[in-house]
This record gives sequence, structure tokens and C-alpha cells, in this order.
Amino acid sequence: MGGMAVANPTLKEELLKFEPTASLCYQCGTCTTVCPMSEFGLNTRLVMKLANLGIINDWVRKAVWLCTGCGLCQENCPNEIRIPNVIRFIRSKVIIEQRRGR
Amino acid sequence: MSSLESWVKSLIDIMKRSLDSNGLPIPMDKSYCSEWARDLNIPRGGGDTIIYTSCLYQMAPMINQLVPWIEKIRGTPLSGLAGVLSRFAGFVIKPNRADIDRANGIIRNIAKALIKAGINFGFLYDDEPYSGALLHEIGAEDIFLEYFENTVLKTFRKYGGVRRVITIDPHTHNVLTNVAPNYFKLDFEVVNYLDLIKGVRVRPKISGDVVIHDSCLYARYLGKYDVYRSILDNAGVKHVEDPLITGRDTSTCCGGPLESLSPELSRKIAKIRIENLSKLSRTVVTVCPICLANLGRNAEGVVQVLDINEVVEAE
Repeated sequence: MGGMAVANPTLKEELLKFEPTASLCYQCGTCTTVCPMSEFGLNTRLVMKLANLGIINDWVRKAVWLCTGCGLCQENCPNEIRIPNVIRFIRSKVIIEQRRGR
Repeated sequence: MSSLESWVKSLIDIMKRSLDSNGLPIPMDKSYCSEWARDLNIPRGGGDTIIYTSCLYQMAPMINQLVPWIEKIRGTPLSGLAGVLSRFAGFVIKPNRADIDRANGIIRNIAKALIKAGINFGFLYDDEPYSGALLHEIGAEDIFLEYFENTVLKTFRKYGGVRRVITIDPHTHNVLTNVAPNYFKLDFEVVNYLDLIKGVRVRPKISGDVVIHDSCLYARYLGKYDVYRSILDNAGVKHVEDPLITGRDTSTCCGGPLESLSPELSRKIAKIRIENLSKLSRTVVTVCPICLANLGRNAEGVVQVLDINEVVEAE
């Protein structure tokens, strides 16, 4: 996974402004179970875990593009977390990183 | 950077440049977008209600033409963004006449149903802006917002009296109802054509039963799961259901949203979806232009894929 990831409270705060439901995740993994892209490498539960720590690492940078936005995760999430919005937030951060020439 | 990750960067740039130069996120002549309205006598702007096509029905089949190009570019080592763009410069999609005619027929069917429902509406013709949905969906939120404010909202304001916008596809409807209101105060109401025509008397255009391929957005984000089902019911078209294939919380994606990111992955998803749908019926009904295009091109004789407007029509 490339290097030690450090929690980033500022990024977490920004995420919660964009998608307040994100913090309701208790890592049950239902999202990953129903996600049609799991078999292609999208571990939604892990995306949620890292997002809630404010971590964007190399694995997340790759995985978020696999999401089709189909919404099965949020439809089945016991806490009705708008997970596709969380993924879109991470995408937007990666796109901004790219623009700055990370 | 992984190849997918670096491709995203190029893709956003291509879409942005394309929007700046020809008003669409793909290099296609925008005059194709208003062809459907010829000889329907729909007023320009006109009145307080407009139909908003976002050109998605015409564009969706054209994305197919970009695929070999995307695959070629993604398969060769890139000499930076400049290299990608230079290879892209001058590339213009030549729409297939049959695809354009089909899209025109679908939109005309929608327009006629709206007229039957007693709705007076105008159209912005060549001035109609693309919604920017693709930018939002890919995650380029800041670019989307800038585009939406400076192009979409500005155009609507130019036609001062627009009070009600009728959307005809889920992506545009999602942008206008779930996304834009988080950032802007819209001075118009947004309604989807399905809600406006659900009370219209309709008849079937085909015989036999069908299976519905739900639009992810309509079914899970926009509360329309039952609306298009009721329209098929009104026409007496039997739709075969299976809770594991066509359920609100189980129906999977057509793969279309991944097409510009990864054509190969998009194709795999479409194949899986078609295989499941074919267990229920050989006729698949879609309600979204992107689903129609992506399932249609991957159907390969296993199923026939039709838009709901090719299955029912207003009496």
C-alpha cells in the first residue's frame, strides 16, 4: 500500500462538510458485499475506513475510479450513508492533487 | 500514477476543451442535438416551460466511437498531456445516421407524449446547454460548478421567463435536483417527463413481455423506480421481475458510466448485466440513454435493447 498513512483530521472535516453521513460508518461491510465492482478491486468498506481517517493513499487513488455510482451501497447501507458521494469527494481531491502536479 | 488515474486527468481536459469549443463534452457537431425538433413547431424558449434534452440521447451512442480511440491512447505510452491532446486535436465524431435517427425518434416520442399530456413547452434549440453531468460524475466538481454556473445557468437566465424545466434523462435530472441545488438557488422548478406522462393513455409498440433494466439514478437516487413500471402497466406491457435481478436494491449498473474511463471494464459489466437480464426476457427496456447505448452495443443478439419510448407511445 506504499508508505505509512497518517490520519488527516482536516481532510476528514472537509469530507463531513461535503457528505455529513460519512461518519456514520461502522465498518459492517455491507457495501462491499453488494458492490458489483468488488471483484474488480473496489473494497468499499476500506474506502470508507480510510475516508473517515482522512487518508488518501496510493490504493485509494487507484480504487475510486472503479465506482460506477450505481448506488447499491447506499441503498443497502444500514445507516443510509451516501457512499457514492464520499467516493466522489475523494475523486475530486485526487483530481486537484493531479492538477497541482503531485 | 496508475494508467486509469492518469487517463482521468487527460479525459477531464479533453471534456473541458470540447465543451469550450463545441458545447458538448465529446467532439461532436452540436447541430445534431436539435434535429429532432424539426417540423414539430416547438417554440424557441417560449412560455415558462422548456424541455431540456442535454443532448444525451444523441451523444450516448457516439461515445462508442471514442472507445477505439481511448483504447489506443491508453495502450500507448503517453508523452504527457500535450501528447494526448495533440493526438485528439482534429478528431471529430461522425455520427452514424441510424443512431441519430433513433435518438430523434425517441425524443419525438417524448415530446408527443408531453403534448398529449396537455403541456405547453418550448425548446432552446442550438442554445440548449449540455448539463455538465459527466464532469460531476467523474468527480471534477470544481470544473463542473464553474461550467454549470457560467454556461447552464447563464443560458437559462438569458431566456428570462423559464420557470419549469422538463428533463428527459436521469443524469440531467440528477444534476438539476440532487447536485446543483446544493450550490445554487435555481429559479426554476425541475420535473421529469416520466412524472408528466404517467397519466397519459399509452399503447404498446411491441408484443411480448419485457424485462426492465433500471437506471441506477432513477431507481436509487431519484425515486422513479415505480414510475416507469406504471407506464408499462398502463400500456399493458408485462415486465418480468425477479427480486435479485430487477429489485431496487439489487439491480446492477449497465457499465456505461465507466465507458470513458475503462472501455474494457465497462464491457465486462454490461455483459454480466445482459446475462442476468436475459434470464427474464429477450427484450430489455431501458429508461436512460447511456444504459440504452451501453447495453445495446454489448447485446450481441442475446437480447434486444429498447428505450421505453420505443416500447410504448401515447394514444
